[in-house]
Amino acid sequence: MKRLCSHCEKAFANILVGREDKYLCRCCFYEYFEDTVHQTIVEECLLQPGERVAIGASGGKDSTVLAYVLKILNERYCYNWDLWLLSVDEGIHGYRDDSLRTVEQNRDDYKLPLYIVSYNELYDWTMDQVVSQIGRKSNCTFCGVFRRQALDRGAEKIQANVLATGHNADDIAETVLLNLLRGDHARFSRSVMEENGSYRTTDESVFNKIRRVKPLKQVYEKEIVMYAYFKKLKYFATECIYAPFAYRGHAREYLKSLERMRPHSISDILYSLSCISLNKEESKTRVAQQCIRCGSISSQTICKACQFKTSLDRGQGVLAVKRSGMCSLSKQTTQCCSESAERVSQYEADSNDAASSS
Amino acid sequence: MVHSCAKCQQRATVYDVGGSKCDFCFQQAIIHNFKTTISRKGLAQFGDSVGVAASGGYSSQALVDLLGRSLFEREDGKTSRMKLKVTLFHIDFESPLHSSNSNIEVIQSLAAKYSFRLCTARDNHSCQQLWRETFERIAWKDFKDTSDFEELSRILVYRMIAFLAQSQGCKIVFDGLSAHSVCRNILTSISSGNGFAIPFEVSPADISGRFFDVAIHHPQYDITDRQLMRYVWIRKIDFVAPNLTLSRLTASVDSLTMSFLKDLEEQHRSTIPNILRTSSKVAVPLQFSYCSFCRVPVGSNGKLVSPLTWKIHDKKDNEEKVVTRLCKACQHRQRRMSMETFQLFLSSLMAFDKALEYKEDYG
Repeated sequence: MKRLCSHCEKAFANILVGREDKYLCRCCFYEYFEDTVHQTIVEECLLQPGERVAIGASGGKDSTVLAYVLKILNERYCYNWDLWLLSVDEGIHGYRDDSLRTVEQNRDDYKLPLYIVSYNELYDWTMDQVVSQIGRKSNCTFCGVFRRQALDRGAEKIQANVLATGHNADDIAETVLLNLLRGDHARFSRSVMEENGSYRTTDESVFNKIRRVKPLKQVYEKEIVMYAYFKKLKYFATECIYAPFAYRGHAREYLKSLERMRPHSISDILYSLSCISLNKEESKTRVAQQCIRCGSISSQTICKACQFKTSLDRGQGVLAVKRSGMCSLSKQTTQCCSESAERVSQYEADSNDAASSS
Repeated sequence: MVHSCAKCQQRATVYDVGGSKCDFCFQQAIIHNFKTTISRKGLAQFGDSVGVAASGGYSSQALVDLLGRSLFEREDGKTSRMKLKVTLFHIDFESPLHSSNSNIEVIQSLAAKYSFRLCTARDNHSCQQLWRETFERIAWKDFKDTSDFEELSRILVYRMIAFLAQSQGCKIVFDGLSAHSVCRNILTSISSGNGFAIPFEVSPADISGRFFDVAIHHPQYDITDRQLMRYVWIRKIDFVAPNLTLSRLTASVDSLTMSFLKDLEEQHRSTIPNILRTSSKVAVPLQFSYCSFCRVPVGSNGKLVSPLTWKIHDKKDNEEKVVTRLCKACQHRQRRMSMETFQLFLSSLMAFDKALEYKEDYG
């Protein structure tokens, strides 16, 4: 039975927005979606006018929709954002090479400049090589750490003020559940503090840290899929080939079952996060310092990416994800400081040349 | 391959987290865990009058048996140092979730074994009145799934238990919640927007004061369902199995969450301790109020939830304005139910709370 749109009551509805129990037609849904993103940006002061914004683009639906919506909002409200697409090539054959083609398509469609950073250039390791050494069990740990630093480096290269990622409400809710189920109270505390707006590292301005924002944090994954479908946006829909074995899959499965019964569960989880307060010991923010090896911001003397890289170079990748292995690895890593500092400075010189020529 | 008990080297029959154990050592470990929780968390003091919420399920039957053995048995033949006056409380009203007749028989046999008093809701006029005004009058078509039905039952049952305890002079009630049930409550609290209540859910002691003078503690919060089931089986204790026709896998949020936790625990054994440990890091808020419907503590990181004004009809059908505070879960519940049903529940529960607070009769 066809229903009328709850908003305009003129056109027939095409989509049910489950969390608000509203039936919307296409036009009203576009308006609802774009207004939600805009409201998030304005209320939480995520982006300022005139800033250079690096959009983490993987070619997937989230980053494609994010790039599209930011472009629309930029034109509509004249924010003068300088939007760039920033993509990371992890070196996963059969997955990343295809998705990079999609990112290049986005570059041409939306007429946004694109900058690609690769693991091979930064770390001399691709994810395929990492997985061949450590197996399929903890590869997401390596990829996550490397990707985070790669995005920071890429954003530095293009001199961006802000890095916008396509994390949506489902991702944040999954992360909360994941950290709770795994007993990772450090990450659970950080996600609580981030939601409460109280997570700030000290000396941020000293290190010129690039802000990370999530403009899609109030939007559901289903809404993103429907938006991309109705707008006929081109994106790469295949899951990472190493992802099925990730622990996150358990949290995702539970969340999807919960969403089927109670569509508002995801926004309720985010609301719960904002209500939680932590013990004083947990809420102490870490002091930011620079990694003595590569210069990136870290809470330790040597950043995690450098520790992982050293472990891989020495063929001890598995030790890096075990607590007992970290003690011996950290001692070994300090000995390699001078060698890699030279290579990083060489990489920076090459990249500066590339940026200035483009 | 025959495993030996890690303690006494007898033949092991239980393969637990702490190592293989024989039946006797396993029971001793459970009793020790139980008594340690009561003493370390200060759940009860010497000579207290303690109530036990006995539903007839394996968890509450195990609780009654553990309490009985803790009070009366010691290995050296001397009487136990724990001295508590125990009364069992049972809600024996009929509902689609359980039939009370079989429940009362299993509870009576265990109560007789340890000479515990048994007090039922049918014998209490106020509880009868509440049941008549709420459950017997609601329209079942209002419930889209069993989640709301289970939650409403729980809301009523806890209040009636608190009322019964108060009428019998018990300020402490022990609940049979196991580690799995506590984790389930934590996850459902987060997923229903009641993350504020996490520190109250995870604590074995009732620190919320939600039922005024009566505190409902969970001395089995550290014991898993698997251990309780094993204990009940070894001791040959009768219990009433849950109604499986109504508790299908996806029938309710509670059953979905419980099955998810048990499946995950099969692959990752430390899931339950992880959840308990992480949740215990959440700070207990200093300032909070209570949801007028379900009595769950509500607040938001130091701020109180904004009150809502409702027009409800009292018993004489006079309309009056009441100020209420509703938690997120109850706000959603109100949208799912008809206004009439919700107001009926709300008015009855608020009047019952008033009677509980001022130690008066209800109805």
